[in-house]
Amino acid sequence: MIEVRFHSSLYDAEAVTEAIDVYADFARFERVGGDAAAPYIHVRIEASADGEISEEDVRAEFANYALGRTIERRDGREVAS
Amino acid sequence: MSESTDLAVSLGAGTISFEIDGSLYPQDALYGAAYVFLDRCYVLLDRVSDNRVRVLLRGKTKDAALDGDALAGEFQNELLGQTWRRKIAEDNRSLIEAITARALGGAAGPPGLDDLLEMDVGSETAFDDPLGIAMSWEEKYAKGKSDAAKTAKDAAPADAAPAEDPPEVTP
Repeated sequence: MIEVRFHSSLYDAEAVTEAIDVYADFARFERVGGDAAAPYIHVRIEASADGEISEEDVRAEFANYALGRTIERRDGREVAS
Repeated sequence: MSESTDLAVSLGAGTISFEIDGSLYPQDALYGAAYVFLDRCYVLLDRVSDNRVRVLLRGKTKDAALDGDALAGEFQNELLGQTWRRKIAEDNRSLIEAITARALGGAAGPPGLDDLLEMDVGSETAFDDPLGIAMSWEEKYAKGKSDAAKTAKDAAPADAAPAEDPPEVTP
């Protein structure tokens, strides 16, 4: 299990939630601490048992997606399909 | 890493970390640069202090020749470009808005039938030509002739009878 944290001044909480939904098939995600005023959004990632994709790869892709969606939401853009 | 510099630090395995001074680069520019790199790098941002953001970059390919320093340099170049582009856009905002508004006005095209029907065109105003568009070039720019005509008109007494038509000349 690994953990990733996103500073709330840099990452949009909704974008992180979207990223969790998108990558839910590849790993189990758990949001740690529900305090909206906390400076960090903590997410624990546990890769699926088959071990096909490493936790580190999921974490990196997940964080990239969260950042991308944060920027797109800020600019009022939608996800390119 | 010093607090006052943006030195890049290699963390191994193709990962590089450096800090950005928020007083030099606005957050929008940081987002713009990060977005450009999302397709070829894993980008993670973290806030170090109120004015400093740490950027972690890792190439997506397992290329051993991937140069972390070059990656960091490219990112910082992009960041500077984004900052500059935003400043230019901000400085010229009023001009951009004026040009856009004019372009959109022009794109509306010529008036439609309804617009024409709503125009106040009566028998008295239908043939008004305030801009002299219907005049021929000769009429409009015949300066000597019009001056002479004006002089003759001014010189003639107000109660004088209009001049007779010139005699008809037969060949």
